[in-house]
Amino acid sequence: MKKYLLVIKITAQEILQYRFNFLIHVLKYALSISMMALVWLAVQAETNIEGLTPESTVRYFFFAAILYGLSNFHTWYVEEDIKQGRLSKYLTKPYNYYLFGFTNQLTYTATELIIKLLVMIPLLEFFGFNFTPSLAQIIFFVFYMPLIYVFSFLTQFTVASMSFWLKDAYSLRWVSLSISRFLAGIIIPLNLLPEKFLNFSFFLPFQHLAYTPIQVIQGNVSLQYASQGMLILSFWIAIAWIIKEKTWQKGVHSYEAIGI
Amino acid sequence: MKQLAFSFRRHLRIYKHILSFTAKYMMAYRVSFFIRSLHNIFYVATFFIVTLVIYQHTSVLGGWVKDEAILLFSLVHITYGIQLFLFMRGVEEFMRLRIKSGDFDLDLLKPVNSQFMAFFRTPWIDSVIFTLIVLILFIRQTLILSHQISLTSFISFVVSYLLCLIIWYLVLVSYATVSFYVTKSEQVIYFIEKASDFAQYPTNIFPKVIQQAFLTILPIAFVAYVPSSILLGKDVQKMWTMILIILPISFIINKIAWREGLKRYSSASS
Repeated sequence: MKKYLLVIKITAQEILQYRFNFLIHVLKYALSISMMALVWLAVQAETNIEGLTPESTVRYFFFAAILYGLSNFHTWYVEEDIKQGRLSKYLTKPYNYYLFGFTNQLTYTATELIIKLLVMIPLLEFFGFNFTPSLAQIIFFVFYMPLIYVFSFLTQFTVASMSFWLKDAYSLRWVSLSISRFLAGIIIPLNLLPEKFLNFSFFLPFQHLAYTPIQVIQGNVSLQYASQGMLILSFWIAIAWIIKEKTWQKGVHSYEAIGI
Repeated sequence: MKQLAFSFRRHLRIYKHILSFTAKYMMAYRVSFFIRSLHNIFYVATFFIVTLVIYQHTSVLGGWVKDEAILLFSLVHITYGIQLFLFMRGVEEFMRLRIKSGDFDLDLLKPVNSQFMAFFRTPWIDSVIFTLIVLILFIRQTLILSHQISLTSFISFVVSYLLCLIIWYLVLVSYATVSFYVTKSEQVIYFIEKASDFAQYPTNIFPKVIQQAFLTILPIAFVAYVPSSILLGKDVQKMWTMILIILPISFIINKIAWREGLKRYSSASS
């Protein structure tokens, strides 16, 4: 455990060293997702959309921007380590490569989340879009966060592990990120899509990466619905874990780093 | 003038070699080439669905009907494809690696324009398939809207689009010079790339402050909104005025930023 705490410490130092780059990174996603609210506000200025008020729209995208960091990261270093043979040096060290990546990314993600929470919640208040969720809603919203991160890291890590067999696994990673972002409801509130699609996507993991927790914090769904969402996401985490284990074992088995 | 033409031809010849080399390299890994082509298609498809959903709820957005919005959408992604093909990967590598590692020395030592060598050295040929798809969509939309488009407005559009591409290039490169001052700064270019996602919506739907920002400090309106407006005959005079004001300004800023950046550059380990 101590060694992973050290990873967190070193990563935090790296973030501080390159703070300009990191802040621009945080700003990039926070602004781009929040700006989607302006697009939908413009649509609402033209017509009334059932189940969507200007206030709920702004809140939706602000929360989407906060949650997006938990599922949007790039495990390019896994691909590079495999492709360039650098994985060898990690495999011979007394730590788990997956946990190393997990804690490293966690430091980035947690710092990003804290900055967003500290900036965006007061901003909502400042622009007059404040609201008072119940304690239960807040608890559910917070409990969703680690689940979102664990699922997303597992899937991104697994896709990056395809580098054992593919030259450019990053394209697959980008495809999976684009699909996941859309199905999670980051760029479009899912209740604007056909109801059949919404009912079906409830059983997939993606909706619970953003749409469900946002609906929970806004009080649009019952806590029973929220718990079901958490259960489904946990189920998919278990599936993703099994796939990741199998892929990694097979990959490491076929891995060769000649001359390194 | 003669010297300029000679220099242009020489750079074109070098670029032809770069293209040929890159194409051969890409074709050595054909499966990867097709997978990479796919990723842009998926990325754009999700945004296309958003546009369709928007127009399911409204018939007009900021004065743009569905067919006009799809034309705008396709033009944004043509620009995206062109910039990927020509210089985006170069800009990215320049910010992420070449300045930091000192590899930029290699560009400076060559008897060609250093900006050309730094940004046009890595064409992204994978974007061809994707660009062709959005080009087909653009042609389809142009045919649908042909009753609105005269031959003069089409010629005016072609000229304006080329000028807008130049503006966009000059702005991106000006922002890229941040890497001369800050060790790790590639997120600046990713930020601009991300912001350009909003070029696919009519700029006039945003609040006034943002509209002004999109026409000046972060001129993503030039990616497609301005040339599309000229093509469709919307505020043509205003759009041309904007191009004629912003083009020389961005050219001057680019020259100064590049010159000052070069002065600042001290290679790796120095």
